[in-house]
Amino acid sequence: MNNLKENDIIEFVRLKIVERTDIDIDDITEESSLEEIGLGSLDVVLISGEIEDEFKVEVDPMMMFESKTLKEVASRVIASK
Amino acid sequence: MSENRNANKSHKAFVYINDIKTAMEISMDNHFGPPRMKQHLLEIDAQSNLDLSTLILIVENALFFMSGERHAILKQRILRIIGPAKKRKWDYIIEEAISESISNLSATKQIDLIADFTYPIYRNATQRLLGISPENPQIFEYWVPKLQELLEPLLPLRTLGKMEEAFKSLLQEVKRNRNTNTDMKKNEFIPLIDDLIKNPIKNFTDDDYYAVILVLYGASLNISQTLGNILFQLLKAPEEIKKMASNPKWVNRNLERLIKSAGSAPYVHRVSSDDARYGDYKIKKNDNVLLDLPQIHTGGCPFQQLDWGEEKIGRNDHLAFGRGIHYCVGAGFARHLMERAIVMLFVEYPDLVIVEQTLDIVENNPIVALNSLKCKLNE
Ligand code: HEM
Repeated sequence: MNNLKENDIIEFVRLKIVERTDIDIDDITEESSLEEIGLGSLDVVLISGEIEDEFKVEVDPMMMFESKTLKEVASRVIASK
Repeated sequence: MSENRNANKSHKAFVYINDIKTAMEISMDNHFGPPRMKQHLLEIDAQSNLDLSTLILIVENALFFMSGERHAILKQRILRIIGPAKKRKWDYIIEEAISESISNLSATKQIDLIADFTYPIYRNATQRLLGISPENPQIFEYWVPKLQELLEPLLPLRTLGKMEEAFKSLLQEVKRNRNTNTDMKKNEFIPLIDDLIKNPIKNFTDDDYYAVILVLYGASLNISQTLGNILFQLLKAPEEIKKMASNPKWVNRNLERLIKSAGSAPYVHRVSSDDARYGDYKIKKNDNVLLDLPQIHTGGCPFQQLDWGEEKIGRNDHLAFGRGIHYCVGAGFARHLMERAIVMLFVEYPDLVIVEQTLDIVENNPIVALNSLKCKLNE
């Protein structure tokens, strides 16, 4: 169950990153980090808000920056629920 | 309480500075500016479904986020009214606020030095200084600490949405209920809001002034928090030190040591406009740089026993009020208030003792402060 949710979050974040950057979806994996993708503070704040709305959780944008990979973002979102 | 709060917290987008030398250099280096908060909020306002118009008005008038001529002109103007050079105009406000709080203390035996002493002094003195007289004090006071949160980096959208609502109602309160001094005696202090409205600054509107006042009131909450931390330090100190707290000369000589270790501001936030290298720190253009004040001043343990050694600590030996262009505009007022409050409290109640063993520290906020400090007036 947890795994499924983690994947849902990762998929959602990948799509949101594609919407905000010109990066190809295949170049964003669960091992990608927000820094190497080149997301700025604004992107991170907005994507955090979208994760909150979609999954009804609280997401601290700072946590997104502190996470090393998208997988870590997803597991920290689940852990904070 | 004793762990290093930000050890290894640095990552690429946020660089935490932990040593005083680098922190001071960065504070004076014009390649580091305040966060571009207005731009950030404008973009969120445009790209989300939030209306952030009040928050944008607030940050446009918050010296913390301002730069260039608008910053310089506003700061100079505020300092002309509340700066240390005008101490003779405003010091009676401080004396009266402290005396009133002290006389209220005598009504009870067990007290909370935050709720019964530092907070009412902050509230009464700064409301008179700035010209605020809220109609709904409880609601007003509930929202004021949120003003401090505006300084936190990367606030979530949900918090921004709540803050927008809070600031809208705070701003209305400030507007509707100016604390105009109608019973003005000759030479009496004119609250800052009255002065700003009477002598307008080019390109500023009345709405701008109300936002300025609100920001100053929120920033001043540091007075209550820092003074609370200082009183804790003094009450925990060895008996021979505690005895000195009623001695005006000793307090004056040791004030900077106390402010350095007890300052409530958690960090100073800068953004670099260039790649830079400072000692071991590699900073890239647009990095957020946080000068970690508790780490710099106390090794990350703000409530530990102070070193009362003889080494003199001067105003320029710490960053509790920041440094450089963004140096605290209320530092002179805060210093005088805290110095007088310490002396007047310990003259009146030399036997004050803490009754609780565990510290009631503010936890869901990076500010360094106590929620309460329960004491007995006599042993
Ligand atoms: C003990 C009490 C206080 C402490 C510890 C404190 C701390 C600080 C610090 C660390 C800064 C630097 C921020 C930066 O560089 O980004 C600052 C700036 C500032 N403080 Fe204070 N402050 C105190 C009292 C006050 C009071 C009483 C006021 C208002 C009347 C005030 C208003 C401000 C403002 C507006 C700034 C921004 C100045 C600028 O950017 O030019 N503070 N304060």
